[in-house]
Amino acid sequence: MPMRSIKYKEWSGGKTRYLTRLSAMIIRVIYSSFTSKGIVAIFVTGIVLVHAFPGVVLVMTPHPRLSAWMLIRESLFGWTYLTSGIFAIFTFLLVSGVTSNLISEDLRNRSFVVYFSRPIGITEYLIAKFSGAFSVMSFFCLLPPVVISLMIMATQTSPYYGEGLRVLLMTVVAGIFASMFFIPYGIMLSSLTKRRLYAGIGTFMTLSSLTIVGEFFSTFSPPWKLVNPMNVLHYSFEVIYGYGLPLDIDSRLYVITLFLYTVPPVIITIVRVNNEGEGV
Amino acid sequence: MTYDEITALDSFTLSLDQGITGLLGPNGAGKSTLVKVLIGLKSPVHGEVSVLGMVPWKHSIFLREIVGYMPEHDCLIDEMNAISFVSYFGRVSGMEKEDTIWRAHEVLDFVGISEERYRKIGTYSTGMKQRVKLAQSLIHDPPILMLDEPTEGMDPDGRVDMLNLISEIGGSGKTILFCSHVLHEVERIADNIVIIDEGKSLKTGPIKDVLGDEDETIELKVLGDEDDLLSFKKGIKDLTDIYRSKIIADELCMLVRWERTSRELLQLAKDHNLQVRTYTPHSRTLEEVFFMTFKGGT
Repeated sequence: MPMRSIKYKEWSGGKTRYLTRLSAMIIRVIYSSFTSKGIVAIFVTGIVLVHAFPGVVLVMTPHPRLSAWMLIRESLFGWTYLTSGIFAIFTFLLVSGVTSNLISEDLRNRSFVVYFSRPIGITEYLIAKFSGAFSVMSFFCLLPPVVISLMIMATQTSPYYGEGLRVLLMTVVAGIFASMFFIPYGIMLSSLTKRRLYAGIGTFMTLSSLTIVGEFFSTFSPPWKLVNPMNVLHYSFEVIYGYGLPLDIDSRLYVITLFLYTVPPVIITIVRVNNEGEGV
Repeated sequence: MTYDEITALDSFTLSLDQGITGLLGPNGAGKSTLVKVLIGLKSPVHGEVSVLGMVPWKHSIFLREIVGYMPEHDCLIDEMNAISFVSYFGRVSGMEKEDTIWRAHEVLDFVGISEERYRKIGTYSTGMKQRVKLAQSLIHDPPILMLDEPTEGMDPDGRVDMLNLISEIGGSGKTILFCSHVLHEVERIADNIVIIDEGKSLKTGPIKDVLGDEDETIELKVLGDEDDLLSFKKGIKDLTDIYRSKIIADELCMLVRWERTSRELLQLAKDHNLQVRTYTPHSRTLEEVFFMTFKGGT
């Protein structure tokens, strides 16, 4: 190491507001996601297959106005737009990639202490990580459906836009829901292992396994449909767009499923980060 | 303050003045625990802790605004480069984005990370990682720094360089708590020391006072028969503490606390038919103070 001649200098700048500090963490999650070749590959493929193709068909097909039917029920050469299996599969893939490194990185590098020796707590840490993942997911689950909805409205034949605006609002809600729904589950798996690969593959494989198990047993008993995360996403879109749940699905079981996919993973993540953060 | 029925810190009051305070203690003495408690990273099962009149784990956000912490273990994100890492944590500490970039370059220049700052941290040597750890604790220029074993794993040159860095930071008016088990390093740069064991403060104060508060320690060499030497040693032991003693051939070398007059000691040697070869006041090292504190003399 060379001899130093540089003296220590003091810093006298102002401090940012508290929430601005979290934005640095959010931006880092977004940046690291979009600099990951794997995530970019999934993202680009997903945009082309899930959004671009149906989007072009929906926009090019003559239509009087934007309707919920077009977005979740209209058959486009054999599959629907937002409720198709391919939308769910790419959502699983993307959430697996985006959340895989969120907590495992700090477990692996033991870097919780660097965060928690600064003026942020566990809650703020998790909110920032979640928000970063949500931002990335929204580029796939929220932004494209909204853009397609706007394009459909721009090319509609009817001069009435009231119904279209209502559907657009529903699309925003559906996009937010789809962007955030699987994040707690992915973050939980990321908090259980130091290996990014294990967390990513673990998230995708468990969601896929639940899909297969739910699909298989639902032939014997309809409530098993709720074990399938694809169906949970599908039914949630149906509810958001005003169609309601299918008749063979118990609404209480549906609410319990939503709860199980979100709240226990959050609790487990908080416990893990709390334990690891204290043990630094 | 207890964890799992183990008392980690007991009636412990620590006053940190400007400058460098060395925190010394054997493994398991509670040094790292103390630092983590001070910045609210750990909270006890029982007991109370107050820092600047605040409970650290309840007011940790405020305390962490004014503290920079360099942990003992690896804590750097291997996938980032040093400039990104340090500037990122500058932003998390509340610095403006424009400020963090030049400030990160400034502190990395200071700690001696040059072009390597653009390489991934995972490729760094232990010494370079220690420097980056120091840089991240300095990025927001906190008035209080807590450094846990900052020279751990560094080569001799690197250790000297790190001590110079800490010494220079200490000279800029900051309050530094420097935890180490390398006694001569603490002795070299600390203004004050605190020796702890089993969560209790055993010795504390300015380093000059701690090293010099027992000027009565003397180094003694006497010549004579072995029986006389042993008898003399026993006579001394009955009167005072012997910190160190060694008989080689017909010579007894001793380090003793002697609060009486030199005449009395010389008379005692004469009574045992011994010839005094050396009688000098002893300048103690921190290492001797440390071992005396724990062993109370041998």
